[in-house]
Amino acid sequence: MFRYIFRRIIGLVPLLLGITIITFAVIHLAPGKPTDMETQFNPKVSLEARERIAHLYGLDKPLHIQYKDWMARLVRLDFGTSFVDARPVIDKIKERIPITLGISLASIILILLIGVPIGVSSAVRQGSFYDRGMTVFVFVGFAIPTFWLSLILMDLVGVRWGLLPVSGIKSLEFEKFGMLEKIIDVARHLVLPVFVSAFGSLAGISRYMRSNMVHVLKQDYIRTARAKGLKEKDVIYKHALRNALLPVVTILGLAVPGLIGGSVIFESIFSIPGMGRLFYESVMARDYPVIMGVLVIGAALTLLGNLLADVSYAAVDPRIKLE
Amino acid sequence: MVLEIKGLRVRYGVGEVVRGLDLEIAKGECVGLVGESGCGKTTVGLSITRLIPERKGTISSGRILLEGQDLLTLDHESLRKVRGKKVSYVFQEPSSSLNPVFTIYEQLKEALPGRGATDDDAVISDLLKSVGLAKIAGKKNIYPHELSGGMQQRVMIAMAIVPRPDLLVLDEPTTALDVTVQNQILDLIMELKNKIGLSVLFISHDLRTIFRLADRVAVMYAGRIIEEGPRKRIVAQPGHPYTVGLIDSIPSFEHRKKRFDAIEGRAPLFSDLPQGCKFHPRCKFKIDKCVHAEPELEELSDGHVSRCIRAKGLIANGAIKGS
Repeated sequence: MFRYIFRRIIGLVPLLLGITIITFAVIHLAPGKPTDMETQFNPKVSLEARERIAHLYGLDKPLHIQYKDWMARLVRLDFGTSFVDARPVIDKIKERIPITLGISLASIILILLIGVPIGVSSAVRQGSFYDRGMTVFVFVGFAIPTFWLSLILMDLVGVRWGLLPVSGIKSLEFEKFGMLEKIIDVARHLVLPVFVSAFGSLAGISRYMRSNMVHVLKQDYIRTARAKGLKEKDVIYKHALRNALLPVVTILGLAVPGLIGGSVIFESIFSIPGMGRLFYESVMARDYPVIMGVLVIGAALTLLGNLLADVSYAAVDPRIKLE
Repeated sequence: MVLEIKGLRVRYGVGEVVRGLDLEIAKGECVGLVGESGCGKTTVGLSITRLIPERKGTISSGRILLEGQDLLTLDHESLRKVRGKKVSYVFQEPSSSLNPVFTIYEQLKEALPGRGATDDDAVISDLLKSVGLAKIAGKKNIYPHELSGGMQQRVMIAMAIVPRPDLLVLDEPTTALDVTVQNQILDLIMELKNKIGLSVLFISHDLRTIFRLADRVAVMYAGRIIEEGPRKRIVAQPGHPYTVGLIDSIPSFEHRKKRFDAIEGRAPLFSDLPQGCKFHPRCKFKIDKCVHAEPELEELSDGHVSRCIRAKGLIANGAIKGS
């Protein structure tokens, strides 16, 4: 088991290397330069000054040399410093990653808590009015663009009804609050972002769950369970459900990139200081070290998510042994 | 009589697949129900405790009396108490009939009549020994995939006999197994039947296994019984051209034939049954009268009936005889 995990992690290294090469090339070849912000809009800056700044950042070197330098620092876990505010990239990411992971985790839990029961109950009542109604509901969630739904909810819930805050994760007077009030304050700020990020993913998990369940309910061992005289609730929630849940474990591991990618949109809309917004801001500023830092960590999390999916599949399915 | 099936009719989407079937099983008797694939024999077995999935088909009329109690009129809860207690099943595919994510121990435990008793472990251990699985008796963490097909079927048999049912339905219990394993399983069933005095409905397309086990044989064709009688009588003098065809199709070592005497053509589709005798398009002895009306069961000798208008004549002139 541990040998397997160790081997898989070693196997991830070339993959991660490939990802960094491609993203590094794409980001650096994309139009716009980090120096534009400081120079483009200022007619007094001379050509020499521009070149001096570019030289300072090492941007005048050939691309493969830049990559080599960046990689040489990365293997020592040095992500470099931001072009924008000269702070270490790792510090900028460190203060933002818990927020994004926290929201992602909360929405995964919400998706499971709602999506799995919808899928199971639809499968049990396959073809009924309820089943079809749920299908429409989850596909509406799937089809609505995140940014549009976010804006509508901000307007309705936040502005017109004044029920919930619509931006950031803390109120202005946060520091004056007691412990309990702080928790409630953060929770109130997170309701809309978590809801929005979960709603769109509901369709995937509930439809997946439904089709697993429909498939499992046709299996011979379900007939055996019924023939044994088990209660219908044991047949469905014990014998069928455990089989139908197995593949969901895999989907969860694979959902990581979607949640990190999706965070770019809703964190920007809700002004949440997470990884997504950091990424958006640094792309706008062509802040290469930060962009690369976020991408590397995002890629590493995605690959670890895949690994976690495989390991946990073996943990829940007795037929699968990791070798 | 342990079981009396009277005028059973079952309708699937494609048509009526059981078209008025009568069958009786006496206490301690083994009745073999034989016929080609798709003649409705499995449906008869499942009908007894109404295990046919609702979306697949419905029992449209008839009565199924178990020890005098009509199972077709029972509510779901009472029916559930019959399943796995008074009537138990062994199905064709042992590998898919056991739930892959629960241990053998857990699945056997569910079949125990008095659940949660303290001596469960001992009971299960003895049970496994009685079906020739002493090797895994006492082991609690064995999953179905760790056993061979024959061992899995022994587990299924153990599960079916533990409640000491009034009726054991064996639906092609050896079809998916190797020939040597088939014989072991048949021996085991014989042994258990004699030891416990089970009443058995043995469903198979394989006349050889039926002849080994059954006291009485019922031959089914296109959803009805076309011949029924004591095994010895039918072996010595079959009373329907179809039964003769089935017997001649058994490959034999003693008289090595150049080709098998297969029955011409194929079983009719339920969506498109022929007029008159349902077997006439494939029958060598067809006369004009066969095409017009479906024959009733006619008694040939005591307890031996045939649904062929020419049966007596064909027997008398030696056109149909046992091998």
